Amino acid sequence: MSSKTSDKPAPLDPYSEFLQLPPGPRPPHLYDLLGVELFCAQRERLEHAAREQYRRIKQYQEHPQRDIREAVQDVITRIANARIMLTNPAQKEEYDKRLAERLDIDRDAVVGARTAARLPEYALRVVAGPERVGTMLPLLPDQALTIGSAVGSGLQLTGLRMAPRHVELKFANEAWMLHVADRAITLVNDQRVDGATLNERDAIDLGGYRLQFDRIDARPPNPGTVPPPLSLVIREGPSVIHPTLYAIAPAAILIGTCDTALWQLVGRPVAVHHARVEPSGALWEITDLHSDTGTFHNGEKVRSAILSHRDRLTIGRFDIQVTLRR
Amino acid sequence: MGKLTARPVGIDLGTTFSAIAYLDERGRPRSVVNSRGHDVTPSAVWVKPDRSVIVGEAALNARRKRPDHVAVNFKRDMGEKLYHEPVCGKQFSPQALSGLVLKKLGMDARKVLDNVTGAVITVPAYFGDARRKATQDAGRIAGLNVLDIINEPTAAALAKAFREYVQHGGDMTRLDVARIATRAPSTTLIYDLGGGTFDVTIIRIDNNDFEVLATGGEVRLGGVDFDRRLMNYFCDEFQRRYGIDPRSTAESTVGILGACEQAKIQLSGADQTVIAAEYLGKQLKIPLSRPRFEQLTADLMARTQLCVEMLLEDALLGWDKIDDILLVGGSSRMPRVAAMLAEISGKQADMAEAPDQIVAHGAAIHAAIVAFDRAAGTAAAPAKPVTTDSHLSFLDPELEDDDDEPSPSASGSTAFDDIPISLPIEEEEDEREVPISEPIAAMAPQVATIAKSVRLTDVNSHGLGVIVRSSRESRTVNSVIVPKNTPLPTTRVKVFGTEAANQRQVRLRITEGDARDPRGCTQIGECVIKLLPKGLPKGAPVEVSFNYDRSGRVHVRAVEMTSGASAAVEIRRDSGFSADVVEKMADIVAEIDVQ
Repeated sequence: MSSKTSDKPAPLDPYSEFLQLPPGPRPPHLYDLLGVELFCAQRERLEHAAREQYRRIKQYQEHPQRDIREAVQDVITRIANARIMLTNPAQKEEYDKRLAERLDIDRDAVVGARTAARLPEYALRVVAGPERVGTMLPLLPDQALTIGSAVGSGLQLTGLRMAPRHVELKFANEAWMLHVADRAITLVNDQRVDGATLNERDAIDLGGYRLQFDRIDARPPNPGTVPPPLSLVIREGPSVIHPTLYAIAPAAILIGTCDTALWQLVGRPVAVHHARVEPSGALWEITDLHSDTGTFHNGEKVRSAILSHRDRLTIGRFDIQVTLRR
Repeated sequence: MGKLTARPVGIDLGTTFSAIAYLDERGRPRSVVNSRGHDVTPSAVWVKPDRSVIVGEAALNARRKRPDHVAVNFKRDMGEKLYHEPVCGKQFSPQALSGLVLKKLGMDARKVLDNVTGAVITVPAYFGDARRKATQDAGRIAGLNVLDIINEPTAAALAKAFREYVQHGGDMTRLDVARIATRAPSTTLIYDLGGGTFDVTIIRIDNNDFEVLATGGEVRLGGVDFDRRLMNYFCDEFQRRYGIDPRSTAESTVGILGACEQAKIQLSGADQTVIAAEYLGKQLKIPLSRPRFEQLTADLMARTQLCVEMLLEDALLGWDKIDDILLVGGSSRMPRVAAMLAEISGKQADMAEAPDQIVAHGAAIHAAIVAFDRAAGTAAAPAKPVTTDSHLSFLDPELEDDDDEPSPSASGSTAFDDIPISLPIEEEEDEREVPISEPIAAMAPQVATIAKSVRLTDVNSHGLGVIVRSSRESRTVNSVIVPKNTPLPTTRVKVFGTEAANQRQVRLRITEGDARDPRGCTQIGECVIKLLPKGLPKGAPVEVSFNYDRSGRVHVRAVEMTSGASAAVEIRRDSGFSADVVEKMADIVAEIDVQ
């Protein structure tokens, strides 16, 4: 009879299971842990990466098995540590030295080669969608980025209209190129595309999300000059894929039944292109796009209207509440 | 001195300290002082071999000599079956231990009040289903009429607004025409680092509306982790010096932990201190500076920082939208907390006045509101009968062995395609609990005025959903139906499709958690639609609705839309034990001599 203990499954590896890190030494060194390139020195990127990894692992904090919960706690502690050490110049210097010794590599050569490569100049920001709005992702010239619903995507966005690998961004010939997967509906500046070369401030719509492509150092607008974060919540109406839509400036939201609408509300009598919500100075404005059944603002049929906190919108049989985060 | 008339109380059941408060005749929150003259009582339970129990300071002192007879930090185990170690040779549930603390607090309150008509107990906002239920059960085990469970940061915000109102000369008798908030609408971030848990909540106060915008936290991060960090530092040093590890016995560990806690507290006021402890006749004193302490615990502080930043991202709020930062909880006294928040926000964080009592004070205000609401709602209809399909009840063991399940999935459970088509519909009028009969008439008119003038909207801290099969991702996923930070009450609906043609049964596994990966979620209930008609096509629509009411109950209903076959389950988020288990435990606790 074979001994039962030898059949015991290998202990779960939280790094590959929950953070999708590639196989390697465990625990991984701090750069691998945060999923950034070795010896990365950009403070903002390190902080962003730490938050992303924390967000991922935190979902498993309440795992029913005590040993896994403890392993998750340990990973959280390491992420917190990585953030402190790598964003503190003196501690990072010391850590880098030890790590270079341990890996037996020449740090200056690695960093030198990378500086010759280049630093990220552009970033993507989620400006509208059912979740993750506000997320900013720096684009690394030496790495392609996939966006889709698949676990392990560089930017994972879920939703029924999102393909597992919806688009890919690649840096080639001094420009960022957008490659769209077969039949994955994607718009750049409201035009349907199969691929595109991206320019500053381009808006990309995919799977119910809008992303803004811009320079990484683009100054955030002065809070007083742009509208506050907006959420639209369906309070009553036929079934939809996403009952809530969040948006931040400069998002523009097309509402309608068509597959290219950012917020798809299906069911008659919503028009194919029914209404559009977009910033107007420091306010949000809704404009009816000559729909047959009209757009109602607090019960009144309007051509266009400025949105206030707790307003009610009616589009077809959808009753929508407006929330503004002042 | 005469006692005050019977009234409800608010209780902050903390990991390390607990407090109890009530509203006085003028509607002001007052802490109950315990027999030692303190307004907070250590959450420590000393079980003696004669089965009598001592709660509080004396228990904490006894722990140095008999650590195996004294239970502490059991709030961390809330939601588990048993406290992590036996006490005086017996196994206890965390509910029973908490129940003993609550019983002691209730006894103290009865020294100043004729009677305690009901209690609101606070929990960390980030507590999940099981822990909330366990807390409510603890109250019942202690023989308390638990009126409600409220989130600690929400209670703190309520108490702070009232304090400011009174400080600005506000008249409690004119609350119905006055604004409680003493200034323009404002948004406050509440950072609550307690003994064992960490919470962060963003709340908007607009006149008399208290609206929680978002909440997050960690249930295993608090002052005790800072103490343990110091203890390990000290013990490593001890071992290096003398070659022996003082952590080898529970007695010495408790002693050193106490010394470390003292050092931590001293460093909140001083720049330098000494940790001194003895083990097997060998003494060690280590000087400890504040910067060194902060370095040793930097990762713990960084975790709270990550949590705060993540919450702001989730709530779509930048620091420019936060008007105030309020610090609550004893561990927020560590100077590094305010310094860290100032670094990341550019704003000054304010320590709440009496941070150890503010939560109990807020709970007392909420207790008055709930008691008043219930009394006013006497005319309201009793709770609607639950629409449970005749024999399909929550976790019916018979269903576990059901074999007429033509499920193609390997797990043997029937799953659906994840075709989330969701539709939130107008929330139903909230159902009233059967009103309590306790006399509310005795309540001062001022209190009634407070009760009428405050509106409180809270959010759920964890998502609720069902486990379904996603054909696109070729795996089972957790499909969240009520996302976290949804204002309550709410009703949300999603439509899924059956997974196979001619499927005869649909089993819904109801989860709590925000992860798409089911492993990150806790199953909190189940319901099954049985006996679907023959010949249904694959993808037959099944509508799943979650109705989360104001009293914390979740009604889940699934309807196969072609045939109309349905099943429903009510998940009571207010009790983990069955009524008779609670009753039995309450009887036992009632008989225990608690001092």
